[in-house]
Amino acid sequence: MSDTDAVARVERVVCGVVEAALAASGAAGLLVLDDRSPEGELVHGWLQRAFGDVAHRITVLASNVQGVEPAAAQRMVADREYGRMLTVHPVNRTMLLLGGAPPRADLLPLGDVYASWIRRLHGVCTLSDEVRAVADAVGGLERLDAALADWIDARADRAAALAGLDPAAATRLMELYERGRFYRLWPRLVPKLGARTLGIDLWD
Amino acid sequence: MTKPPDAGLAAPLQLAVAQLAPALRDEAANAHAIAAVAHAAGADLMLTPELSLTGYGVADSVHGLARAAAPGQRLDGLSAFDDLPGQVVVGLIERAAGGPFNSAAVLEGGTVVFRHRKVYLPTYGMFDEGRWFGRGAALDTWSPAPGWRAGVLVCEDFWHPGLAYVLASRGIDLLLVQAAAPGRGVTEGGEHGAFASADVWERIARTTAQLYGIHVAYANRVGVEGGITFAGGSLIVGPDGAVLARAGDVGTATLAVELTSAARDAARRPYAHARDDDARLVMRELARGLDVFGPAAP
Repeated sequence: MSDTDAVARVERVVCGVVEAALAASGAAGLLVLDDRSPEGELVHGWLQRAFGDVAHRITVLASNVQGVEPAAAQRMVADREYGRMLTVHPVNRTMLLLGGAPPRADLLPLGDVYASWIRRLHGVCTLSDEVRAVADAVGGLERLDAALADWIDARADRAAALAGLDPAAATRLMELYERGRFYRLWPRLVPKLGARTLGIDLWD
Repeated sequence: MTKPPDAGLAAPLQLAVAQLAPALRDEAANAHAIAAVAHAAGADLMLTPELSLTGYGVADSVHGLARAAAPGQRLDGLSAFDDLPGQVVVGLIERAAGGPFNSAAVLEGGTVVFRHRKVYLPTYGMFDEGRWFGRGAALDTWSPAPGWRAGVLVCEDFWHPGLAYVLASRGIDLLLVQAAAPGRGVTEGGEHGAFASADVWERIARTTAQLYGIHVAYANRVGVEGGITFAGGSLIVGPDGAVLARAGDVGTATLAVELTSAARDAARRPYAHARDDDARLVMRELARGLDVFGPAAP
């Protein structure tokens, strides 16, 4: 089955979850907290196709409030301007697992989609500098995501899943993973696509 | 005397499988939806998904939704079921000592004529049923129509082949399986839909049908609860393991197939599985392995 088919499937399932969330929450619409990332473009496109004018996007690339980072400024604008909407952040699974505290949004529609999958489809994906450094150190993003999939999705023994990785890189990978543990225990809604999903059957 | 190949011993059974999207905690709406599909299908026997009356993720609402559903009991406050055609297998939460139970109740005109309590309650990964439900502790069969014998299992029950074996050993012609199976494996996809996980259910259904020479009906739900998308993919499988009818992975649907005992007989004729099966040996060896009767003799 082609990547196009896979994207269509993922889009359909994600939009189904979002539709149910809209209905259950009674929210007035959706607000994608966008940073012009390929994931943001992807998610906004899906939601616009599925929900039309109900799906909005807010982009804050820089903050004019001293000491307030763009993401926080984004939320401030969202709260002030857009009333009761479900916020959507397009963070990918790799960043969700290794990027520290998850974004503060109601919905994380790509929370089960690895960054390497995004990159295969779009040529680029979003990684923080520190996660990119780990990916480079272990031999590439595909290698990193494969190790994560083996360890977390397939529940392989951690040592076995990370065997073969550069030991220092593996140690750094674990540090990043442990850093986000508290926040992963109380995540936002992630549509289930794979074997283990934050908030549903991944409590670690 | 040899019977003609198409004689059969029972009249054909009109079977329907209703793939539904139950609304969480809305029994009235779900009862109406079930009744509407049942009337439209007009089948002798209709199977609906697991917890079709209540929805799946009821959590703390389990006690408020539990209702008495013993055989002989009418389901209170569900007038939509009063004039159901044929028999309809609904999924509900049963209030009883040791429960509440995740139960499959066979209704005839609004009265429970048979009931199976889910035995295996998945309490791992994404599942938490052991927190909410008591375990069923028995298996039984019933006759949905003259000359037919059926058994029912609920979801996780089907993943424990011993249960299907016990029912087959009691001479069923038809195994009904209710499910609320979530979809997984979306990026990989399945053979017939979005979810790779659906392929496993189909393999189990087809293998069970062929091993025992029985029809297998599998009713899974669709819809979304929280982040979980239920995978649909309901099936009716013939006693030779062939898929007779299949529903898609999204949207409600009704499958309808006429079952014949001739098909069952034809599927069994090449083999002698039923004739040669030795349930007493199985029981004896299970007991020996479990040391039920004390240490085995040297």
